[in-house]
Amino acid sequence: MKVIVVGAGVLGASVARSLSRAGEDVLLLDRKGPGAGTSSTTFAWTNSNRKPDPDYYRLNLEGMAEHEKLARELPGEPAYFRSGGLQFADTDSEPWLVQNVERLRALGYPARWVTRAEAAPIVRGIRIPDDTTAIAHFPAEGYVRPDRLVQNLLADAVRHGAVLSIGEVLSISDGPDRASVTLADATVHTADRVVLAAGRWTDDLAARSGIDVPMITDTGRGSPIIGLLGYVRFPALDIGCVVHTPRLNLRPGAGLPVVVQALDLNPDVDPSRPPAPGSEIATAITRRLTALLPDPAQTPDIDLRVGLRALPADGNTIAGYPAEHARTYCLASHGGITLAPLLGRLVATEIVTGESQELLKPFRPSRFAGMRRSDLPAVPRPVMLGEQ
Amino acid sequence: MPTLHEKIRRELEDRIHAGTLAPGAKLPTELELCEQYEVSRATAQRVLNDLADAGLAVRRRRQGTFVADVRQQINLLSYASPDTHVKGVPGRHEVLSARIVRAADAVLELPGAEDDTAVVELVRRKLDLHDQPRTIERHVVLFSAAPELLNEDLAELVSLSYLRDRGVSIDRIRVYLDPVVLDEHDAELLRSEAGTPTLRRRRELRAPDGTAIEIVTALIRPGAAEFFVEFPA
Ligand SMILES: Cc1cc2nc3c(=O)[nH]c(=O)nc-3n(C[C@H](O)[C@H](O)[C@H](O)COP(=O)(O)OP(=O)(O)OC[C@H]3O[C@@H](n4cnc5c(N)ncnc54)[C@H](O)[C@@H]3O)c2cc1C
Repeated sequence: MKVIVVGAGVLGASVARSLSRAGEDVLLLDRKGPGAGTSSTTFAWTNSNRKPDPDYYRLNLEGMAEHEKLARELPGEPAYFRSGGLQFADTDSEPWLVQNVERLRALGYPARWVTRAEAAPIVRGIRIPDDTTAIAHFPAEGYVRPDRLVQNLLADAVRHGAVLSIGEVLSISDGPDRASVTLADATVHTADRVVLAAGRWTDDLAARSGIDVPMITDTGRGSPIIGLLGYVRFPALDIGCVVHTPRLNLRPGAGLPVVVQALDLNPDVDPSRPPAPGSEIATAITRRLTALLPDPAQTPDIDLRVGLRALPADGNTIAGYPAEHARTYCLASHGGITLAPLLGRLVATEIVTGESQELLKPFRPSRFAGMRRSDLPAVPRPVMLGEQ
Repeated sequence: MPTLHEKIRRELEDRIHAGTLAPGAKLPTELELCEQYEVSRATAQRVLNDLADAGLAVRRRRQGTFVADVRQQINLLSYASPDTHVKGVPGRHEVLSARIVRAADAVLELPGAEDDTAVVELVRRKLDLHDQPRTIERHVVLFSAAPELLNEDLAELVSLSYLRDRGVSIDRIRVYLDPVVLDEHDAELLRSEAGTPTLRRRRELRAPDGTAIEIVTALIRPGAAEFFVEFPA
């Protein structure tokens, strides 16, 4: 079977890998290059920490387990690190953290309370804030070095015969026997199946192909898809795991800069005018980081970059054919770093065998059928401790 | 709507590019153009001046206007030298294809690479200042050495400096000059004839451990260049 995968982000690369390993003939198309979209500007924490929807919780939990499995079999430099995660609460956020830890424990999610002394060797190079009143440890969580994950998935896909080609897809059309994909240079490719995995551009490309994939695409200030990330150029900063504090979240860089984010500042970020060094936002982030350094006299340089989430309209993954007998499979998700290995395997299985996978059933695009976009409830912006 | 002098100029340009007006050939005089196209002397003069300004024609006093010899003069010594490869030559690149494939499926063999190793493959056509094809360049780069190469502006990319800037350690640069005969496909891309002999520059970059990092070929449009070496006497 010939399959065209549109989008070489972490999701497209993962699907392409699973399909080519299953022996399918795969052409992966991207208008820019592998990992050029959201997958290169992400916090990349693997977790199922605050997913209140039980189906979505289960999907992310399986996603974490799939990373463990993939890390054992995928060639290349290590891309996944099961570092565990720590969350520090102060008086204000403690009730919120307590409630979540109890909820997660009831579900069997690894979560435990630790003392400052127990947390110190796990978090390593930063100071635990003095006003910390509770520390939760989530040992099954971890993080990804996203550039490597995309590269390793892609190299493995190519090893099994997949081809990545640079080209901008204008539209996809389903025919009775084949689907065809039209590129900006007027080239037309045909295939038995097409996987539409164009990240935050999926809604638009689907619309141009007569398919409804409702996503939040507003990039104006205040949109929930906006997420500012800081890349800390300060080699001495060595942190041992993903850390959430009430004012700053940190993720190890694994050879690249440590990544930080301050969710409560996102509503003030305008992607068309990213905060410059010295701006109020940049200064706030630097101040928050400095407060966590063992030597507060040091002021590390932080490069700021605005990430834009690929966010389906109800916040949950979209995976499946929009209609029976359709040849174009739609795939879009937030939390794509956690989910990529699992979604890659499940989506490829559905395409190859035609058998519906239990875990994906709650996430079909058809759940939006007949709904007007204006009727969909607004997706809240992540701002609280442990949200993403 | 092109103006009258543009229309006439384009007709002449097309004939120069097609080779029906060969380098050195005499172009119509101002008077001849006036009669042939029924235009004013000023218009005819403007056509010939424009061609001269574009470097396509040379005007010689009292002798007339001639098709310029647009052949590039290539000094083989500098052509082979890494400095030239870093600077690149003027003119823009047109990207014909950019892919990541198995080494065995790439347009060039990367010496020593296993068949199923992922490589980046880039095929571009270099155009001269008159938008005439000058060379076809084919790059095959080890994907693991430059996984983000395709995210660059591929029309501008100079691979040797790109790799150096990314800290890829390159120990050795070897340049070959291969005599080749154009096949149908390349002849069409170069607006030339299949079966015409030409030169192909082939460059290999190797890491300190001997691994080939990149192979690049530049296939030169026959007749577009003259090669020489020159020494102080
Ligand atoms: C600030 C921030 C923090 C995040 N934190 C986390 C986290 O902690 N944990 C987690 O699991 N997830 C997190 N995410 C989400 C995660 O990063 C994304 O879900 C994931 O990267 C999406 O991958 P993708 O492959 O769907 O999209 P992308 O990486 O955007 O890939 C889509 C690709 O499609 C290509 N494309 C688009 N249109 C076309 C076209 N017309 N033709 C050809 N190609 C096209 C693009 O060039 C792009 O390469 C975060 C995201 C952000 C922004």
